Order: sequence, then structure tokens, then C-alpha cells
Amino acid sequence: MSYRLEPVLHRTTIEERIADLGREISRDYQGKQPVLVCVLRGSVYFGVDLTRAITVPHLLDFISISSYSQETDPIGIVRITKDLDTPIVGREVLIVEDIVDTGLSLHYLIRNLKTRSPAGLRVCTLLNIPARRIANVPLDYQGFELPNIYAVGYGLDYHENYRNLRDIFSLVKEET
Amino acid sequence: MAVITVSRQFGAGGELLAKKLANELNFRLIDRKAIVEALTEMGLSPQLLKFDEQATKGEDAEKRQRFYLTALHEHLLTLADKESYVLVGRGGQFLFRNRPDAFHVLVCAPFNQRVQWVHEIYNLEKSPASLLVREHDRRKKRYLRQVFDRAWLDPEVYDLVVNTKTLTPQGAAALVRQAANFFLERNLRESTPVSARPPRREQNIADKQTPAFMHPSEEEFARMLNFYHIPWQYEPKTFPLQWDSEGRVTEAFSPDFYLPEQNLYVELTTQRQKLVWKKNKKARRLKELYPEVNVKIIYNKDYQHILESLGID
Repeated sequence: MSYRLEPVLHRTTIEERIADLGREISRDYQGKQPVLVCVLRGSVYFGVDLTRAITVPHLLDFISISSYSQETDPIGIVRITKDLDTPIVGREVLIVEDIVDTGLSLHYLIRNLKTRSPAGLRVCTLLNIPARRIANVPLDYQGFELPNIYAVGYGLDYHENYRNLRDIFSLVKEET
Repeated sequence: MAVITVSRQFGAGGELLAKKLANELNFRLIDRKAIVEALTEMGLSPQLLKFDEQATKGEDAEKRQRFYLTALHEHLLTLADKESYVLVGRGGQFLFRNRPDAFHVLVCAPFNQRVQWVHEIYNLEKSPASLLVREHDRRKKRYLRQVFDRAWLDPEVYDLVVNTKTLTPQGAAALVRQAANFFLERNLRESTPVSARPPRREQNIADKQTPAFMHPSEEEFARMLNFYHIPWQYEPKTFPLQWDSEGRVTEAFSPDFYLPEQNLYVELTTQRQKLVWKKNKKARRLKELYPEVNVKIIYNKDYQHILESLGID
């Protein structure tokens, strides 16, 4: 099996859209000092650029949850592998995701963070692939809606590869 | 329970059709005889029973008629909670008009045809037969207007209107039977309380016993849902998609999973993309027949993307 990369979003398109999102978020969170919860690891690239586009004071924190794998024992359940350093009770929280496809991990994260009684909880994702959605999740801010492709680059990986690419590509398998 | 109401124009053969239908469905037939028996048993006087299907004039008569109707309607409504039956006349189409478990039939035929049949059956000359048919039609119209303030022959009141002249009484009976079967099957599907349904192959986080999955990809999907705390049921429902002329289901669709929290049915297909047209067709048909049902087909390619995004190949 070999792969080829087809360009989907150029870095300038991504930059422009992030600037828009930054303006939108800055307007909505005026005087609220939100906590931006960046979901490790893919969202780091987007999260960092987004904070630079946000003009209101805010706090950046990171969270990581285990993802499903075939090696997981049959009663394995999702858990937090790196928790927030900041208490969010009574705070405005904005979850920052690189991509929302099935919505399964985000669904868990929202439920988990809600139990900590934040004042508000919203979601910002760079990419949205509704064609793969299984769990209903509310998306308050989204960069781009994509068709059912396998996206890599700008933090998104395939077996830990391609995260460092500045543009976003579709990974296409080629039968050999 | 189900009630099939049969309204009929005089001489159109509605009584015979209702009797045949009740026999074939093994439902009780509620006609004049059954009503008189039941209400007499309840202690109603024979003087009151003469108000059965009769319009009245005068204050006193109206008062007595109301008394009779209260008893009759009470009896019919109570009975409908206990058993299924075929009701002949009595304005059943209006009495049960808002009940989802009621099916309303109107049996009619052109005036001349009914006169002809009355002439043959009652051994009457054409002229008195004609008078009788006209009189009965007028009386029924007045009765239903007086009691329910509704127009008897408004087609919107009925689920099925059959003409016994063009269809013949036998043809009309067969058609009503078929429609009733269709309705009863639908009614059963939609109204059976969950507790009364046969046990399903159900599964969720709380109950870890593994059902017999048809395909390894389904088992994998179930594990993934468990991992993310998403409750699910395995093949909990079958949606009929096609029926043959006798009401038997010839095509159906049982999506693999139901996610109650998402109110979403999920069908996993591991077939190659080229072969999925049949499943797509089923999904389209499902959407047509059950527009309120959310179903998502996850194709092999989508599923691979999901697994790959989790680092699984």
C-alpha cells in the first residue's frame, strides 16, 4: 500500500480563517477571560495559532484523553491521561479541537468538563467532518467543513506522521 | 386493541362485509344484535334501545336519546380497551376518530344499484325499495349530524372507501381485509409497549454480555462505543420496507445498532463500495417510509478512516 497527499487547505487559507475565528471569539468573550482547553496532541498547532489571533485576555491549558485501540482490554474505557492544571469551576471554557469527526472523544470530554461546573462550555474546531459523525456534539466555532476524507497536516497525523506539515492534505491510499 | 368501524349506505352490503371481516380477523362483531344484548344486560330499558341509530325530535326524546348514547358510547369505549372488534355503524368513525388504533371504512354503492339489491333481497318492488333506500340514507345523515355534528359522507373521515358495485361485495371485502391487515400490522408495531415486546438482543455498557455479532467489525464498533460510554443496542428493530398483496413483509431492514442517547440507528457495511447500492436503496426507502427515523450508514471506507484516525489499521 502506498499513499499520496492531495492538497486540501493551503496555509494562507488556514491563517485567514483562524484570524476570522480569533475575531469572532474575541468579540464573544469580551471581559470574560476564557480558559482555552487544547486537546492533545493534534490541536496544539491550531491552539497556538488561535491564541495569537485572540485579542482578549485568556488562559491556555491542555488536556489529553486516552483513545480507543484494539489492544484495549474489553472493559477498557476512556480516561483522562493528562488533566487540566487550571480549575474551571465558574469559568468560561472553550474546548479547542483540531478535528471533529465521529464526535466520540469530544462527547466524552464535554460530559467530563461539564461535571466541573464551568460557567459556560463551548467548542471550537478547525475541521469538521459531519459525514462521519456518530455522537451529537455542539460546535460553536468551526474553521472548515470537509467531506469524508482522511486529513493530515497542521497537527493531524497518520501514525504520527505529517503533523508538521503547514498545509492540510487528504491522504489517499493507492492500491499497488 | 384495534377497532375497525364500518359505516355503510343502506343496501350497499356493509353489514355482510363487516361480518366477514370480523370472522376472518377473529374479532368480535359489534352490530345491532350485540349492542342490544350488551345494553340490556347493563339494565337499559327496551324503550331506550329504540333510539339506536335514530335521529329524534322534541326535548324529551332528545334527553332520552342522550341517555341512551351515553350508555352506548361508554360501552363501546370500554370494550375497545379490552378487546379488538369490528363495529357496524353507530357513528363509530366519529366516536373513534382521534384514536390511532381505529380504522374507518365506508361501504357505498350507487343509489340505483342499492335499490336493485334491496329489490332482490327484500323481495320488494322497485318503487318501495327506492323509497326505503332514500329514507334510510336521510335518516342516517340526520342522525350523524345530530349526534356528532359531522358530515357522514365526507371522504376525509375514512381510511378506506369501497364501492361494492364496481368491486363486487366479495372484491370489496377482500380489499378491506387487506387494508385492515396493513393497518393492524402497523398499529401493532407502533403501539406495543416495550415491556410486552419479545426480548431483544439488547446490549449496553451496563450489561457486558456479548451478543452474537454477525461480523467482527460490529463487535469492534460495539467495543468502541463502550470505550466512549455511548449506550447502544444491537439490532433492536426491524423496519418493514415492502409487503406483498396479502400484507406479508417481503423486504425489511434491521440496522446494526441503535444509540438511544443520539436517537440514531447505525448500519455498518463492510461490502466494497461498488456493492453498497442495495443498502443505499434500503436506506432511501427507510427514509421515505419512516421519515422520523435517523439512520446512518457507515461504509467500509468511513469505518477504515475512523479506525485509522485512532491509529488502528
